[in-house]
Amino acid sequence: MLDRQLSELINEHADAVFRVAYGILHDRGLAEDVVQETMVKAWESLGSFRGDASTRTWVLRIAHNTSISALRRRRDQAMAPEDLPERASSDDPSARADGMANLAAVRHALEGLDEVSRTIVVLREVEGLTYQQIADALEVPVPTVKTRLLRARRTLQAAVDRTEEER
Amino acid sequence: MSHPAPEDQPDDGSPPGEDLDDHAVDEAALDAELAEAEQAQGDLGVSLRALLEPPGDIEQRTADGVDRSLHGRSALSLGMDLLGLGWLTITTILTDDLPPADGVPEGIDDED
Repeated sequence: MLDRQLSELINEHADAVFRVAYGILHDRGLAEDVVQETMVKAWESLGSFRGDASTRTWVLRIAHNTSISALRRRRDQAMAPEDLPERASSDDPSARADGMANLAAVRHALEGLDEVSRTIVVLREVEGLTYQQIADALEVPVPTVKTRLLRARRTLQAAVDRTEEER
Repeated sequence: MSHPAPEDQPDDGSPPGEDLDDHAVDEAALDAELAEAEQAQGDLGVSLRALLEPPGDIEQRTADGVDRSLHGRSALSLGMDLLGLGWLTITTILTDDLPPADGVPEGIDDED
């Protein structure tokens, strides 16, 4: 039986942590592993959390760093991401969303971004964090967040536009 | 002349030499461009949400995994403690230069 505080941590942040992890790793199974690892790390270091940032920002920082570590471990195993099989998942949205022709294009364009930019895109476009919150989470300056977000948006939008032109 | 070690170089996938942290940029102009790009991007946010959608039961699966992980660590910690205690007991039994129970080492007579 989990501690109530730990359960709350999971219920409040598991979704966002998954999106950050999946945005970086492109593997749903690995992303789920990162969610668990992030929650264990957050739980174990909750006592040292000073509250300078919001809990959400702090958890997402752990999620980003844990995802980067997982990505490095995977690289160390000398396997290209495209060689890694996706673990079977019954509710893979990309498999469900046949109607969204641009989903594959967005995924491909997202994979082409650097890891920090991917996380910035997820935190801004999906989680709705402010530039300052993203900067706090990733420990980068606000202008860096804005610059990378602008480049990422252009890249992703160009991918979507190309797909729509081809239809 | 020293070059940075590979581990000191950014590992974010950015091409070497590319200045992604261009602080010289006019922030007001950047904000205007961002706002413009946001308006033009249409359903990008919707697509990203669909692409990155977590499994419906992610909370329960995470809770189960975390529970297993914490119990595993707890059991490992207990095992290590017991192993350490066992080792301490063995070394205590086998060590022959222990002081006697009265705390006075052998060979030293109480002259008083």
